[in-house]
Amino acid sequence: MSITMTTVILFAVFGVLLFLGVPISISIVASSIVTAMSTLSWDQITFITMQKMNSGVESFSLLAVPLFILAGNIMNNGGIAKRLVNFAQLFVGKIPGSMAQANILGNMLFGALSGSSVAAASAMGGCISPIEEENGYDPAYSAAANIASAPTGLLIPPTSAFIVYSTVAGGVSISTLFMAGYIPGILMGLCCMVVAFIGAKKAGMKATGIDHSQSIAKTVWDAVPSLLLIVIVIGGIVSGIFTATEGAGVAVLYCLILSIIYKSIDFKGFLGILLNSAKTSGIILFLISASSAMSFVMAYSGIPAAISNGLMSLTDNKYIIFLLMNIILLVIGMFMDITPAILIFTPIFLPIATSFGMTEIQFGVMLIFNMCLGNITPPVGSVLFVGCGIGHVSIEQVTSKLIPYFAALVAALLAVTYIPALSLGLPSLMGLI
Amino acid sequence: MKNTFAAIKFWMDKILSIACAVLLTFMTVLVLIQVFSRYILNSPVAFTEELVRYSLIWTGFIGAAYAFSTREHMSLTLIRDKFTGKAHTALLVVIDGLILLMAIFVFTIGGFKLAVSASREFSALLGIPRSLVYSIAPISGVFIVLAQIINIYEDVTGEKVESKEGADK
Amino acid sequence: SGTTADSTGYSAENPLVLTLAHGLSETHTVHIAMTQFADEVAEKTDGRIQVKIFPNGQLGSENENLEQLQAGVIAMTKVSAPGLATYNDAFNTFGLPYIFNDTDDFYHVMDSQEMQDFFLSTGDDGFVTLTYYTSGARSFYTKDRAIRTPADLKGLKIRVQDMKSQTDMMSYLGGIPVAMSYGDVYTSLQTGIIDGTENNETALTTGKHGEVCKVYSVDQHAMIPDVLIMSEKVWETISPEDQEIILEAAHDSTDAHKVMWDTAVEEAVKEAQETMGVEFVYDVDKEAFREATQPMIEAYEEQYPGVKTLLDTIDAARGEE
Ligand code: NA
Ligand code: NA
Repeated sequence: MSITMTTVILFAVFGVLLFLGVPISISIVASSIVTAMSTLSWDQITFITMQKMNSGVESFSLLAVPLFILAGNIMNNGGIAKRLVNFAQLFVGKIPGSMAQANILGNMLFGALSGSSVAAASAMGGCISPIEEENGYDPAYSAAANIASAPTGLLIPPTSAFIVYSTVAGGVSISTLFMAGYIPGILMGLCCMVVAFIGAKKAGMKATGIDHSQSIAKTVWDAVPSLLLIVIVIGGIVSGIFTATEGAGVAVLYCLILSIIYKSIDFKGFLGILLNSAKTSGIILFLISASSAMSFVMAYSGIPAAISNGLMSLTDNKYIIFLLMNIILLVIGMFMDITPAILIFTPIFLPIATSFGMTEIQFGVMLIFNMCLGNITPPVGSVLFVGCGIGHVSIEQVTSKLIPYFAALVAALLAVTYIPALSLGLPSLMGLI
Repeated sequence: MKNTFAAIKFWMDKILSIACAVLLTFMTVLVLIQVFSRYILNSPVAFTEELVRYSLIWTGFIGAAYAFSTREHMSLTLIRDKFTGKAHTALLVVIDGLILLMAIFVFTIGGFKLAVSASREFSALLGIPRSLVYSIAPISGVFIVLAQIINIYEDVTGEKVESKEGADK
Repeated sequence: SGTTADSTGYSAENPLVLTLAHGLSETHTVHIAMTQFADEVAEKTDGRIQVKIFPNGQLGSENENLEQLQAGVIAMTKVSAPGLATYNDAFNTFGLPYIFNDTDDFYHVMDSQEMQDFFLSTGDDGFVTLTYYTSGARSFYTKDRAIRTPADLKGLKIRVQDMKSQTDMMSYLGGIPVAMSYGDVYTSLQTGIIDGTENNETALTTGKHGEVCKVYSVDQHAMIPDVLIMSEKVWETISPEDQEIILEAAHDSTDAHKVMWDTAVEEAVKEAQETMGVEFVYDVDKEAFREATQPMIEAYEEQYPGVKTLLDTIDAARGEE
């Protein structure tokens, strides 16, 4: 069977199952199996599917994913998120729409720690949207700011997205990826702040000021233990005291101790968090498992090579190739969640990107940045759903408010794509590359 | 029938959720032992790496089985939800039926064969049989089969099976 | 692929395609040698037999490739020899320290008729070994410390390959074995998670370890060959004439690889010394290392009957000098 036919079968079966509403993981496995039928016997297919589904998650570094999910959930329930909001408000209190600004800054700080955009959107949105409502904010305006900025934590380290990417990319250095994510992540946050500011100005919103019910010193003092977590985890990982996975373990322990000190968690509450985190992890790990089966089938039948040849036959101008890649990823990102998209598209696009001189590190940052957009674009996006749910607005309402954010973020994405220094500057400054 | 399903669902969810939570705790402790042994005891332990890798495989399959039971796997519901009435029911049965077939033929039977075929392999450090590692796929496969039978029952009857410890009096 | 039982039933239009999966990059000398092997097989069979190579671990790790070979998903793979110990315990031998005296001894033994007979004798375990490729001699290197005797390793955290023989060896030598993936070694060296590692000279340059480690002590504690294996089920379907062609092509690629390897090592040493400032320490007390690991070899002979047999075979191969 021709490679074109095989490729069409894989993506057609996958697409049909996906749009019918079959779970993504099952769509991936089923389409891989159908594709493999032309070359392998049924016994060989089930063997290879199961082997890949087992080995797909057999990676020590992948442990960081469930651990950061757990740490994020503990933070969310442990009063740590609230303290970060108060701290962020100190810096943005005098700006119109300041609660939205606090939300964005909070997302950057919280997301930095938890590495989960959904956790950030629910923690920060949950803390701030009641206050915003009280201050007469348009709920769609508030929700848009929360949604657009929640994925910053996927770029600002530590982040499980980079760990997943490193695993599929064949062991790209995680600490280098972490350093590379800082500036693009902050850039993403700044874009959101500018858009939120302009939106507030246009709507004639006034500054709400700093909450003076407690002193600045107390707000800072309260936030110190939460901020210290950033120092310990990031500092520990970057200075090599521990690996990213170990850093995640330390984060769990630290958050747990802090929550116990704050008396905001009891054994029953912790059990619930543990269960919830384990289930979320299970869903993600299973998706990773499924994608490894698909990666095998694609590699075995030569699909990545075919797609990259197809893409390169269109043009050999690297600027246009990078643009095409981004467009494909943005379209995919509208429908697909970040983890499966990383798993499916890294093996296809990474070889093309490197053949045009983009490093594995910059490609990783570009990919995750692109996927952050997918996280918030309708019709499907986990952050979009969470943000709308928490902010009590419909997807239609929030979409019009999100458009200026998309425009700003796409501009930032192109900057990340065409200016390597945005990703590579910091790691090279630190001697990592 | 419904009561039996409710009881099965209760025990299944309980076993799977406890297993998940235990594994996650176990892995957290392992990674902390690793840091602790390196800095405090100054002699890094080697066994954590293997145990973590295998626990991750187990967490993935058990967590997945649990999420099939609670119907929480990520999917695109946009088009599915546009259907109503019998067409909607039929679509749900097709989807859940597909998962059921995968659970039977790929996860349970295929997973069992893989586990058997790896009977000669042992891990480098702890000598853990590879078959043991691989055995979680057929085990969770059986749980997914149970979960899907209940899900299809729900699809067809339109009634939700609430997990309940015992049968109704 | 067709259903013909004999490879002579294939033609250039409808060739027998043998998939070969391995974990090395396309620039690695062993990959280049295997490409040459594939070309020679295609040429000598007039295109009836094609070897299709999947590099870069595209299809999985070495262990996975071995399982795939046993399941018939792939026909051939290249693994580090001790990786086969799962299926035949004699292959543990290749992971043991100081089995070979030097490079000449290594080549003499590996090219001997005795070793070839052993390579083709493992059909019952599901595979036959077509040939081997040298991967040189492995030595210890650290940031700044020379390793002249086992005592110098005491208390050092040294990265080893994830194989029982390698962690055992490190324990016998007094160091602390740390098993981690090759990709993590660079940053772990840099940040001090490990104090040193062991590998052949090319890791200094291709893995950039020479940027961090400045002292390479040439103790040459292990010579662990790569081996090219084929599934026994596939091997059986190939006619004796074509088997002969495949073996010849395999041996030719081994010889070609020796030259490529020497050049690669020479260039690596030069680059490490001149542009990375790595110091090579040659006054190493190899005898002390050999003594320290002698009990390990005895323990392995006791535990694995195949090791004892293969060590005898190696001695026999030397005897015919
Ligand atoms: Na983060
Ligand atoms: Na989206």
